[in-house]
Amino acid sequence: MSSSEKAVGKAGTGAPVLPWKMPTFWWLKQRRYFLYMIREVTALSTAIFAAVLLYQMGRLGEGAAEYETFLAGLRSTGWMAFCVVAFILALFHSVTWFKLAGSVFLARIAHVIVPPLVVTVAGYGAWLLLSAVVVVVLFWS
Amino acid sequence: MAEKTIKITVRRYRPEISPEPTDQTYVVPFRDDWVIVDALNYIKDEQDGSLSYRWSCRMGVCGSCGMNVNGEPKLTCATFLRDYASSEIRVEPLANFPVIRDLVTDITDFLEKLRRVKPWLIRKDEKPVSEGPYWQKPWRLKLYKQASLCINCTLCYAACPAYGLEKEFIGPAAIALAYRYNMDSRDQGEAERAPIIGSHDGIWHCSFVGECSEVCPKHVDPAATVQRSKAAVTNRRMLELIWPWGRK
Repeated sequence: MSSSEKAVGKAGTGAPVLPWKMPTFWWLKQRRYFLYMIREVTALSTAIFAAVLLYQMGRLGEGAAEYETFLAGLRSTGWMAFCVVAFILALFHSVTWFKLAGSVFLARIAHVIVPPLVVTVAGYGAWLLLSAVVVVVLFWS
Repeated sequence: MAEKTIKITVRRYRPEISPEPTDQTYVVPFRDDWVIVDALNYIKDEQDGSLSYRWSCRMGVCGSCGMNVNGEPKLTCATFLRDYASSEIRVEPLANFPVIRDLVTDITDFLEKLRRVKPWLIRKDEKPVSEGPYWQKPWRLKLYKQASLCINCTLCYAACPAYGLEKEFIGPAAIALAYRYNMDSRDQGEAERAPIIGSHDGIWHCSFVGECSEVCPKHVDPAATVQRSKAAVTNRRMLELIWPWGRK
């Protein structure tokens, strides 16, 4: 029993207190709650993508023919559509994560606190730079 | 020329009349310089003396007039009618708290949680007054000043779905105040607070919705203090694991 429930009946003249009930669809009541839920859901698509990638690596050991058959399956419209959605969700997660990082990460150089905006911009910069490196490596290899 | 008016619908709870809350609509004069609590005072003085709500300072300092205005937690002494001029206004008690009557919530739970995090300076060794004050440099003050502005208005609790769903959660303001004292160079109580804010009821309930910081009228940014507390508690635990003989 929470302390607020224990308080029922204590307040004022002992008249019944109206307990709080969380609405089932509370996350649809406000735009920011909804965006938060989307951010949480991004974990699901990322987990599915990672699981398939791990499975794909396992299939590598089964020979070229087996692996090609598996790759052909990955070129299906359904999987490609999932990849596009997962990519958009991953982008959304990354953008919101770096946006929040500025206020969360208290950076300090000697006795000077680095402004949150600088941390956020530095995060976005590092993210873009690393992404560019990955793209270059992929296309040149 | 007829006086301009605005409709205010108040969610009322009067247990002696109905066990369920009911809506009551009032029509009040629309004044450009009126805040919501002015309109509520007008209703109470001129139309319906039975309406119950809390207010005190009328200047955004006491934190007692928090209510949900059109679904968002607000300090009603700092929320102008003119910001809702084109619509009706709906005033409800703060979400996530039991309601005692009309717009008056029971914040006992918050007060108990606030006490648990020990929001005061803890010293292991007190020096005599004759030795003077404990000095603090301005840059140290900057580390926690934002968190020290909390007025305990509980808007952050009303905005926090984690608190609405899990009542054992210590909650944003209490953790922000624990952080405020942990960051104070005059304080030596971090080790005492760590097991409380790092417990099952503490910081790990927060999944960073961030709404507490959005609604905070004093820009305390409780969401950031909770995340920073997560890092601090984790560091402390890791150090205790690696170096159990170290300073507690």
